[in-house]
Amino acid sequence: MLAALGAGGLGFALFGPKSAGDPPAGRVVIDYWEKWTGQEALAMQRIIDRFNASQDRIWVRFFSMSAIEQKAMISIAGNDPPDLLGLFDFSLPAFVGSRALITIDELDDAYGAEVSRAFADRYGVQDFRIRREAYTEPAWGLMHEPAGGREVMGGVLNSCSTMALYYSRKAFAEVGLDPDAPPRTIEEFDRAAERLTARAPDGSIERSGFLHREPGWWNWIWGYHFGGSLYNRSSEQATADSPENIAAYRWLQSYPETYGSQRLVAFQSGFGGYNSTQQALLSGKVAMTLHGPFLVNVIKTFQPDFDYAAAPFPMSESSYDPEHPAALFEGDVLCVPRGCPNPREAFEFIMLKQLPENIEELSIAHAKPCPLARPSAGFAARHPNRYVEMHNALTRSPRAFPKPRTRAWPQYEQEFNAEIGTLWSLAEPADRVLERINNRAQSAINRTVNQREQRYGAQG
Amino acid sequence: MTKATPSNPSKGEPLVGLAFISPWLIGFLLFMALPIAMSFYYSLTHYTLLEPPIFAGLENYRALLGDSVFWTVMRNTVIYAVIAVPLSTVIAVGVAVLLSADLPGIAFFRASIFMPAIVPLVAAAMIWSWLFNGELGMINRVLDAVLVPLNAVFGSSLQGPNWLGDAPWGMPALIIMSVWGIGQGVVVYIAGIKDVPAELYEAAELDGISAFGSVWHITVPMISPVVLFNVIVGMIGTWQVFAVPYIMLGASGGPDRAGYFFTMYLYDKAFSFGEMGYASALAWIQLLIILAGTALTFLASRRLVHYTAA
Repeated sequence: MLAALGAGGLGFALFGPKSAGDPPAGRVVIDYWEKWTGQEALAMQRIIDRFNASQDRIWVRFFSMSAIEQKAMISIAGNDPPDLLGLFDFSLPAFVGSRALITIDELDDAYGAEVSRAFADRYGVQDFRIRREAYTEPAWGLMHEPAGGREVMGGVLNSCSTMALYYSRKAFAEVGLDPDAPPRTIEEFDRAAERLTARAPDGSIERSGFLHREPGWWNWIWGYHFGGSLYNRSSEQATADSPENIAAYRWLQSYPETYGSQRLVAFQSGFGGYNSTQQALLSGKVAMTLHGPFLVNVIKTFQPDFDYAAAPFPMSESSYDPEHPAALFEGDVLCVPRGCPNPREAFEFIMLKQLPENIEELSIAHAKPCPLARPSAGFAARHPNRYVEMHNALTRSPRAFPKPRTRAWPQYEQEFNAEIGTLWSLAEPADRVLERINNRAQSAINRTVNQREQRYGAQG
Repeated sequence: MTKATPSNPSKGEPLVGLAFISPWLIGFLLFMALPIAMSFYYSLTHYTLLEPPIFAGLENYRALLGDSVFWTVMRNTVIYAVIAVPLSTVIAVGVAVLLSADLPGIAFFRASIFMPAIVPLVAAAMIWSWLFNGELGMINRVLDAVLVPLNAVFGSSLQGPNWLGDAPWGMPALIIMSVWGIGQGVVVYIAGIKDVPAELYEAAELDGISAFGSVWHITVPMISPVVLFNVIVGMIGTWQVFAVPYIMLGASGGPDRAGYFFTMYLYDKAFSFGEMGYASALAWIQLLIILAGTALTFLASRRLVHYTAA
């Protein structure tokens, strides 16, 4: 027994997982917490490895973790935060609003010139600073958040995504639709969805043209494709029950009305996980889906020969503008929490990460578009998603929209996630459900506004 | 020099005793008593974790009363507790009675019934979510074996429910799964049954009492203290349900929040929505409910629980 245990222990020691190794003596070690795992984490690790090898003063230690917001909050509250945090852009209102981050403006004021000189020596990059003109307008907006009566840069964009319509070219061709002419308006889209839906003789669905709840990550999004929005930032009002949103969710309800709510729910329950061959689009269960460009990494892994195409997600007839497509624009931001031990060194790494070649490298590895205003000539050619130019165009569109920038957003979003079943089951009309969502969201927003005013006054 | 005896303890002995229990005492004060006291203070504040708390008096408690989600999670948790605990108890006692028989190979069945208790909750929830799958799940396949012939005979179109995708079926699914986890209770009941004096059964047999009669009139009263203990522990457990509905029905408890429980809401308020003050108020309400539920159970059990004389 003891021998077996001993052998197991020896085997684990010899062949088990290895730590990345201790940092070389004399280095300032900065801890970086990030939410990415797998290939996405490895892509960042490669940049970190190069940074660690490029100089002998700083050592970045990368930690990949789940539930990063919660862990970040607790570490900041406990006054023991890491030096770098990879947050979602929609977390900035909470973290910037509570002064939990050292803003990039503050870091630049304190260390910008010094780091810029170091970069000139080390990388041959002259006068490198984080400048507005380097990024697309929506990308620049995503990094900023109001605090104390002015816009501050809470973090830098680590990577970004725009959501679009992805579809199976094969399914289009099968039903006589032109795979090179995707639907542009909701009306065209509905007609395509109907043709793409295949039913068995007993009426059950074999393939759905489109399902609003697949993959189900953006249950709140549909109003934006009818020219609406969910939040008025200047008046701090929820607008979930606006006429555009009501129209959008009536449209959503038209699908279970047409195809049968129970039938669709049963059909969808047979879908496999997102990261699998049973993924709904790849397995042919749905023909069209709203998705991010990173879908191609799943395609590449599980079904490299899958013939897909992508286009801006259709808009309602009244809000359709081919020059200015609308798309959800979301990003990951790299931040420095207040109270961290090594802000100067963290800023140096942030600056390195913002070198255009590193932004592009990470975007390509993550199969995401580029937040830079002028990506390099080879960016699209090296990118795994053949529709990346379309995604890049979406990141520059003035109608690219972020998730509502309010501290109450997690609660607001949960209201949609909780009510989507009610909408889908047709238990209540869209306007009544949206009114309820709006009231609860507004109540959450009011709480955050009241507390902000108590803490920081009317300027926030 | 005075020698300490049990009847004449020296003055220093209490201090020595305290020193011996001090690791526990310090741990309790630092990691239990202090956080409990702090959570009460936080329940009277607006506290986001990222900013210092602001005193708000009873505002969080007042807000709770008007919070529709609070009442939803209360309703869900009470329904679950009221159905799952008695159902599991009755089934566990029944199974324990069957498994307390000294038959060849009975150990295998005892081990089998206990097995779910050692399966990690997350793994169990994943397995059950596939069993309950409306389209492919094994439970609906078994139901089909009954429903398809019925449909053929009566011309109906009955089919298995979409357990996890349909609001009314989420709660039954969770209750069924909770019954699967009775193993731990069964083991405790078997131990209780084994302690029942054999002469009571012999006397009952001489009096011509049936097998069911001896279970009802002897076994159940004799193990009633054990049942009471398990009911109380089970009830407390239902107020802390989190992982299983979170995995099977999603973070917001599935359609219409039908599987959204008290602790899930508490967690969301604290860590997803950054309202630690509100979450602390929820935690105190939860504590009061558990205390009241336990007290009521004790009161109700006075006539029902039979304590044998020492």
